[in-house]
Amino acid sequence: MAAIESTTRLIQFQSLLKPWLPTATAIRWRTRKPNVQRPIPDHYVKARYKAALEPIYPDPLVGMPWYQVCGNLLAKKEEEEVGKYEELLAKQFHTRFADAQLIAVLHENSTKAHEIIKIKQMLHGHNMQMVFGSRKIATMALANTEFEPVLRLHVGRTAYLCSKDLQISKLLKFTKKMTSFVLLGGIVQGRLLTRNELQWCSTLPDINMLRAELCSILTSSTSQLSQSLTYQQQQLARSLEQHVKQNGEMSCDGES
Amino acid sequence: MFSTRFLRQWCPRMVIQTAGMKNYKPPIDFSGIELPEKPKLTFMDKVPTYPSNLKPPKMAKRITLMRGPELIHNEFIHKQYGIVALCGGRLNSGHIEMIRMTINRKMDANRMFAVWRIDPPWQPLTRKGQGKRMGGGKGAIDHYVTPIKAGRVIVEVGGKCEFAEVFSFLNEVAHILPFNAKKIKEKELAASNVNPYTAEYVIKNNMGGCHDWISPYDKKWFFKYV
Repeated sequence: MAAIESTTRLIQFQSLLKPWLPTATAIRWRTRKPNVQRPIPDHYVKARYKAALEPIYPDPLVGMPWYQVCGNLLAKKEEEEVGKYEELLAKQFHTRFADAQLIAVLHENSTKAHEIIKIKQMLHGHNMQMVFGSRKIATMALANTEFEPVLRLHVGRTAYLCSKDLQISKLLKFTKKMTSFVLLGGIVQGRLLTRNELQWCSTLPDINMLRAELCSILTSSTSQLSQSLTYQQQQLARSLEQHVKQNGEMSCDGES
Repeated sequence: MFSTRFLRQWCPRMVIQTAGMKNYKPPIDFSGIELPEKPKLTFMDKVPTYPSNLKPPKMAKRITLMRGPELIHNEFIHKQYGIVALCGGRLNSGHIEMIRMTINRKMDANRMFAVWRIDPPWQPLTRKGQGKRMGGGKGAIDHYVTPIKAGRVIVEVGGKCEFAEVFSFLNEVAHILPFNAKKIKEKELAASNVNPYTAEYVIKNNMGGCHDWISPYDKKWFFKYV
């Protein structure tokens, strides 16, 4: 108990006898005033610390797959911005495709403007139209539609001849006249055909005729049956008519 | 013979003009910007005015006014374009006049305005006569300066204009100022720093006994400022 008391008194005395340390002391030396605008080079030790503490940024190519790391890559394609006018052109392109029954896919070699005017004049009045468009516009118009496979043919400058009528021979005649356009293929009623298939298609007779033929083939057996049933009666009727005619002539001759 | 894409990659300095679809974007909307009555930079006195009975006081060097980062005047008020000091220093009346004349001459007063973000020179710097010996008291006041800390905005330029229009003369001014410019792209990359040791960590933990030789300012600024 006494020991505790004595120690506490000692502690109290110590607090009173604490030496006074002034908050501000005068020192004989101090750091040289730094030149803020043109600082002196760092001391060796400080420079070493600073060098070790430089930030290390990881190489972005580490851990990437080989096809992104390859040094022979051409510059990445910038994301293409789509303008309002291009959207309009793509809409127009799509409507022309959707309205047409027959489309010829043509490779466009370089032509002068007056030749294109002549082509347009040639097509005027035949329900046909030349449709021009870049790959970007064609993709915007035809991607995710029924016409998407046509885009595989759209390599380089490509033009399309859209016809609302289903006259393939006329179309081929016009394409032959267009010397600077090369026929690649065609779309007939929603089906993509090669050039040879198109030419075969043009040799086919008119579809209405074929339909009429098919109708007649289907009804041929029944018509044959009805003919054979009514043959005798028809023959009798015909011979009676002839008889009547002959008698009529004879009576006329007799009277005259 | 060579496609434009090939040429653009392998001859980047070649200017290749190609015909193609143009995508004209609508112009920038400046409707929210009001221009002040006096768009140009005002004249700043070279010597501050004191009352007639007061002798112009001399002042200590106060390098602390230039040391360290600027914590208050480091953001744009008008949120457009301006000049920011990357390093501490002093601007004297010559620099201020140069800034004022260049900007007032080059800017278009009908569309743009410029605003000072610093005080006119107020800190007196004394000089002894050339060739004078030491002693004989403090020298006489030679000129006045404005001390500037790193990160301080000096001038702001704004109005119905884009950065490209303003950049040319701001760059001119920035190069003539007495500050060493340093590229600061550390903000974006700081997050991806892989080095486990940063100056802050090393100093706070007295690694390598660095507290023996670092300055008290290093404990605050961690080697970033002088």
